[in-house]
Amino acid sequence: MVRLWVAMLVGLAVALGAREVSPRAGQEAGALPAGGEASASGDGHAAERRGTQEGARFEAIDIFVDSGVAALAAYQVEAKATAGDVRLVGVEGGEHAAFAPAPHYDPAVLHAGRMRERIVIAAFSTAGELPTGRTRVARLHVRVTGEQADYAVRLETAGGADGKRIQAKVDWAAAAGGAGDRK
Amino acid sequence: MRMWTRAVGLGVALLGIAAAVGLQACQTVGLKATGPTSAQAAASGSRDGKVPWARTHSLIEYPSDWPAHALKRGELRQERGPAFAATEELWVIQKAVEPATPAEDVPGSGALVTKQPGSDGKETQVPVPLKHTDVRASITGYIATVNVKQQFHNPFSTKIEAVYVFPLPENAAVNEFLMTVGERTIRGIIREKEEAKKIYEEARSQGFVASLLTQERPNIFTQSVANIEPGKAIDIDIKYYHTLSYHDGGFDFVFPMVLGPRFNPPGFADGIGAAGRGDGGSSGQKTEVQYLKPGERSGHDIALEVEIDAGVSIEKILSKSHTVAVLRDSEDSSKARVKLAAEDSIPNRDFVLRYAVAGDRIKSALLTQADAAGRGGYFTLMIVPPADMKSLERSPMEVVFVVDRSGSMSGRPMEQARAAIERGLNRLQPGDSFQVIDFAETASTLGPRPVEATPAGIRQGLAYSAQLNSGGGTMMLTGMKAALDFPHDPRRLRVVSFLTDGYIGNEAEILRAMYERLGAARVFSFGVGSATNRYLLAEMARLGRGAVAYVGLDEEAGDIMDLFFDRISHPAMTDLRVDWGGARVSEVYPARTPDLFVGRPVLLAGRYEGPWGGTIRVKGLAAGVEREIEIAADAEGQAVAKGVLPAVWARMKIADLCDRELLEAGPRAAEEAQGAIKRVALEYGLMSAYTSFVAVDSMTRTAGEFGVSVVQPVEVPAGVRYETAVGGTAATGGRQKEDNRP
Repeated sequence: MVRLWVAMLVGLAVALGAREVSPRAGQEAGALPAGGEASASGDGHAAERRGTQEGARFEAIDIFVDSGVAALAAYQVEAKATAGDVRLVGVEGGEHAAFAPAPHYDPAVLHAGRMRERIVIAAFSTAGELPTGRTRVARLHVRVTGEQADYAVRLETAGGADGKRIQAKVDWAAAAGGAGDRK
Repeated sequence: MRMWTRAVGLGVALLGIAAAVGLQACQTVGLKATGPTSAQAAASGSRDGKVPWARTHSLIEYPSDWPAHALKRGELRQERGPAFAATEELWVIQKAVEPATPAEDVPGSGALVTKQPGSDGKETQVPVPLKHTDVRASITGYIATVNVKQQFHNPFSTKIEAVYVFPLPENAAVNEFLMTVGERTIRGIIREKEEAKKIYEEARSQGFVASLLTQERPNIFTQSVANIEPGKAIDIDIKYYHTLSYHDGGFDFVFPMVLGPRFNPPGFADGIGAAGRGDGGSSGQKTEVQYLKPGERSGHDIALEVEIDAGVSIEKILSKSHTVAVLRDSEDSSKARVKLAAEDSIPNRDFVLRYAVAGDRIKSALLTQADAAGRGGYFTLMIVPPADMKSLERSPMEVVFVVDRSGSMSGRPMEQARAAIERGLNRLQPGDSFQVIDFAETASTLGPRPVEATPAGIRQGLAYSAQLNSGGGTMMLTGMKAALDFPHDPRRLRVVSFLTDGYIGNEAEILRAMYERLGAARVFSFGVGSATNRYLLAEMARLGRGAVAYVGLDEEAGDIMDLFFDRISHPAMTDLRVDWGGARVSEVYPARTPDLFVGRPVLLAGRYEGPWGGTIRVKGLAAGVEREIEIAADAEGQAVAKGVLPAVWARMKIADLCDRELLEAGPRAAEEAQGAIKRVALEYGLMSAYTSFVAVDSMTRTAGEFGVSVVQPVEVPAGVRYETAVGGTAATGGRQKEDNRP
């Protein structure tokens, strides 16, 4: 079972890297519901925050997944800009060692020709120690021009150490200790 | 649910690959170079008196109580793994005992730069931003996955931007880019080239740590890393896939390490410039490589390891370019590990590893990878020429030897070229004719028309070849026109053999001119030297319906020419058509199926829908007779390269689109091709002429101005003279000529 899970997680990451991840039907339609978090069932809602500055600038937003008491072993998250001219310029890993390596992103999704930037990132971990509760799983580095940027995130799936899907929530926040704090 | 199903399907297969690559427990034994007198060396056996590529092969025999005996003496270092049985063989392939350096002691040869003192008698260590390059390659079947780590640092007291122009294999599908800043790693994003550049420049100007990877040619890339603070380090990881070439019984794995100095014709501004270190801008080209001057050493070194899982038994492993340690898997003859010797870590020539496999085991084969939906996927098809093609005799030929005698060919490369022509002339048969054309800044010919291959004619050709000397620029276009423009003898097949290092910056112009003049001729290119322009040479052969071969400084040029004549002495299988056995196949590349030569398989890649089944039939003509090759379309039991085939296919599609851009008439056709290249490259996350990787660390903003740009100077390739290839008119071409006009 463990081996099957490992194989599945590996396949998940490669599937993403090999362009085989695509959003489920209907996910593009309409605006995401307002609210705090998205659930793993896919019908959830996204947390929204407000950007703060004008002009071309580089920022980072952190993606958090809260798996509660369950250990988080894999995730797939969609993030998109809902305001501002945003360009993704880097994808970094998370705070826990299990998700420290930079996650993969789907270039086909990124360059699908939409007006606003949209990305799907995914990662898995076979580490012995996995995070629980709310953990930063990724950091997206972006270049923003024009109006204040705004984002929406949605958790497409999350998996536990036993290979089964788990309930989790996703949210985002402006990265703390970023370049804006340093001169 | 669908996503999980896809993941399960792919993951299970991937596990097999992961197990096949790098999970074997193997013992690694490092050998200290103790010199040839400490080993019992013997020339390798040869089947017919010829030793095509085993001239420098040394067989090391160890005492029966090795390794305990050696360990006690401290000569060997056992690193890990189970005890190495005394009955096992360890082949250590060493470079030629007598190094093949030019007869005269000239500066500019890569090996000599490290030893040649400067004017004050000392070697000058030049501080440079690139400290070390680490290469890890994994080969499964005929596909290599290569990870290249470039370790940049700032040895200066102020902030810098590092710029490094470097080569990769011409068919590399570069699809991963990571920047490591301290403990953090940021994955770079593939963007349209101009947008990526703009993002990078903005980040640089604002003080952010950022990196940009751009493609100048399919085999030349520029790495830029901005805002490296004093004493800090930034690592760049690049990953690519590429297919290996198989010919004459073995596979070649090549990792190019340095760019040779390119010549750019007068007035040509889109080339690759060559300048001495500190003379940036002197070439007048937008992309420029700076070379260390004689007596200078950068300290940049390279480490390289290759893991091989050939899928069939490996018979021999050899590197004529470098000293390597080879570890064979004691339980599986299809696996091996090769490591570059630490004392051979100066990156001044291409790393070439050749491994022979059991000849009768290589067969035409299909590899497939299903897509996520499971309705189809990607495939590669290797078509191996039938063994009985060797029995077919050829028609009379008109062989045109075209020799590059420019300055960069001075010394050993020119010796190799002359030796190759000499052997070629002696292989001609009654009924053949030949011509010898040599070019540098102008072109000259043996005579006004081809010479009959009579004994007197051959003597005439040998005498002409023997007096060829090198110097001056590389006006290859002149040589190309001379080779293809003279009237074709309809009774003979025209075979044009180019012998060159390919050190030019106007590849597109050359390729276009060749294609337009080709007619019924075939072009075979011979890359001569330690770091040839493999993109140009491979493209000339591909567009010219021929084949490419390489003659390293330490190889027997005559033997390479023998293989060439063995190949062209039998008709190729032409006009190949593929019956896919009922499978629904689309987008097969290359779009024009190459001809099939003896000893040289053809590789196709494509997409499919639905199931495979039945038999694939490849039909074509050999010596005017219809031939057929059957290939089982059986997905069971294959060593499938999961996760790689989409990138390989996309890269081959891009190469085909690049041909269209180059060869089709009209700006609109070129524009359409460019758009298609961009779309494919973005969709599959690949580097291309129109896409680049960019990474910005928005959390690391450095103080002050973005700092000085420091171009990483590189070694002049081994065997190349600095004075004739970088200094003088050789590299700066018309620009310097213009400066010298009265």
